Amino acid sequence: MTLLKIHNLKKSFGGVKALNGCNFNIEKNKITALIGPNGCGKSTLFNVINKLEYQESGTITFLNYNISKIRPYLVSELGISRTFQYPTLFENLTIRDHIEMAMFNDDQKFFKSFFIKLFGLKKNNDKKIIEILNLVGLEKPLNTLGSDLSYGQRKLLDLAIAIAHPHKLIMLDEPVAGINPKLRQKIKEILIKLKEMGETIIVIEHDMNFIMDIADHVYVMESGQNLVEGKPKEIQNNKKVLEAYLGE
Amino acid sequence: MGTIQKNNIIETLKDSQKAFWLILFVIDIIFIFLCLQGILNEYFAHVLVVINIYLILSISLNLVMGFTGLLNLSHIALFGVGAYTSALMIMNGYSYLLSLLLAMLLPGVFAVLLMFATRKLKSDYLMLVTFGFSFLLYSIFISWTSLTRGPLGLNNIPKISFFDFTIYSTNQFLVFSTIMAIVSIIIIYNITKSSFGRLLQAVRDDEISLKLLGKNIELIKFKAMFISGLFAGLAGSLFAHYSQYIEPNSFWIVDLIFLLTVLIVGGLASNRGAVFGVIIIMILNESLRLLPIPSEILGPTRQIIYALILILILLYRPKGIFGRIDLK
Repeated sequence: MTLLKIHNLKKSFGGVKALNGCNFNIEKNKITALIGPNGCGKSTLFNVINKLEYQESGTITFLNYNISKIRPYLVSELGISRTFQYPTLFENLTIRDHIEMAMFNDDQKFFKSFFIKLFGLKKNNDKKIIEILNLVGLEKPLNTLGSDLSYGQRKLLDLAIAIAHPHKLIMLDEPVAGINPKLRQKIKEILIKLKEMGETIIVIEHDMNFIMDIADHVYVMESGQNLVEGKPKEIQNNKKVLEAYLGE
Repeated sequence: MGTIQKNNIIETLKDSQKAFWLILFVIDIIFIFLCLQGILNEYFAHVLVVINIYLILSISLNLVMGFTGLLNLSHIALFGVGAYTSALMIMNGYSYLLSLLLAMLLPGVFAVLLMFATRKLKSDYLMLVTFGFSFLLYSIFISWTSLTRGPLGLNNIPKISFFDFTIYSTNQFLVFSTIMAIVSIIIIYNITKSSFGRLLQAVRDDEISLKLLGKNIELIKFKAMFISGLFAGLAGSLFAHYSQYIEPNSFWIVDLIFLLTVLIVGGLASNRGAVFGVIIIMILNESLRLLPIPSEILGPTRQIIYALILILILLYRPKGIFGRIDLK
């Protein structure tokens, strides 16, 4: 079953065509990888799906809803979670705050949240939070501030936030970029476990070994367009892919 | 050694919120008691009333500037809108409670409209536009003479009166303004400690990440500005009926600089900082009267001292005394 359909998407920045008519189908309960050389439009595609940028033409359909022109928070409410290449946490908030904000959306209701605080009615969500942190293997006290986490820990918390947010699709932007081999292995295991749990994931990554180990389907992009697609093993030795990456 | 001890006292107060509020409350009650018993004269009661009014103003500005990270320089003008609304309503025969309600709502609505107009702006650009908004309101206060009497201001504003009770004396106003200040602090404190308050801080730290968590950033900002405007209006109403005379210069740059100094000294994103800043700067302000300075240069001397304090804070304690976020 197709969860996300992208049809003929175009987006330019000045004279640069970041997306030039690309098409994708993201299947449910699978890990789909998006690869391609730097500047080929992968992160722009993520930004357009999340509506941090708006496309010039083309359509994006998620769960049969056309999300081409809606606002970012509505995309998120429909069930799309995302991580960033460089995790941007809320520096002055704790790990608990991050996960709670991701899990619940009624914190936007002013009166409800005010009276819950005033009369001390807040529920303890620590058990659920710890479950999610255990899933990603982040072992830090819940009251640790975002600013006190190392790069690797920030990556794990970013992943935990994406998982905690009610979602049907998780988008991961270079989840293992700049981290040590041990943590890379750990993230690989987490993603495989998530797939076993029935999650649908799109991942952008440059590490081909990582992609080969986790992906069910791979799309290769070049100059804002689809170059090829297929199973990881088919892609690995594809001549066009080698040319795009190595310029052979 | 001395520095280490001083830092320890500050750190101890920073760590023990309850102790801070309890000490402050007890001191406040003692001063009110001494004023009511006539042990402290009316001048002290007057200073405490002014402190109460500025407490409401500073904690409400801190909600948008410190917690939400919106560089809003329109707060003093919203304070003016509250003062003029309350004064004009009551002078036209409306009850105080109705006047107070409108004096709070109107600045709230103005704040939301301003936020709507500036919703795409951030940091310095937002600061410039909100400062421009202050100019606009100041111009209205000064130019709409048929309503505000322009530079002459409004005088003989009636005292606060409700349920057949009128607040005549400074001591009575001290009790009333203290209650208002305490209620305001409790409300804003609980807002900042609620899950909504956490969202405000998240808006300040990173809007993009928050959007991706399904939060409507613009709506959150509107709510923050509305609440802040409500309390600016409350402070304005108290100010108008206490001083019984308002004029456009009461809501101008001098007061804005005072308010910013208070927040920067006390520390942004800290309710204790906003309260502590008002008390410290007001004590400093009033202490200057005791110095042998001619009255005509007292005003400029204050401005110089504010500037020096700001420079020292920026150099040596950029987070202010209780602040949680760096001014940079």
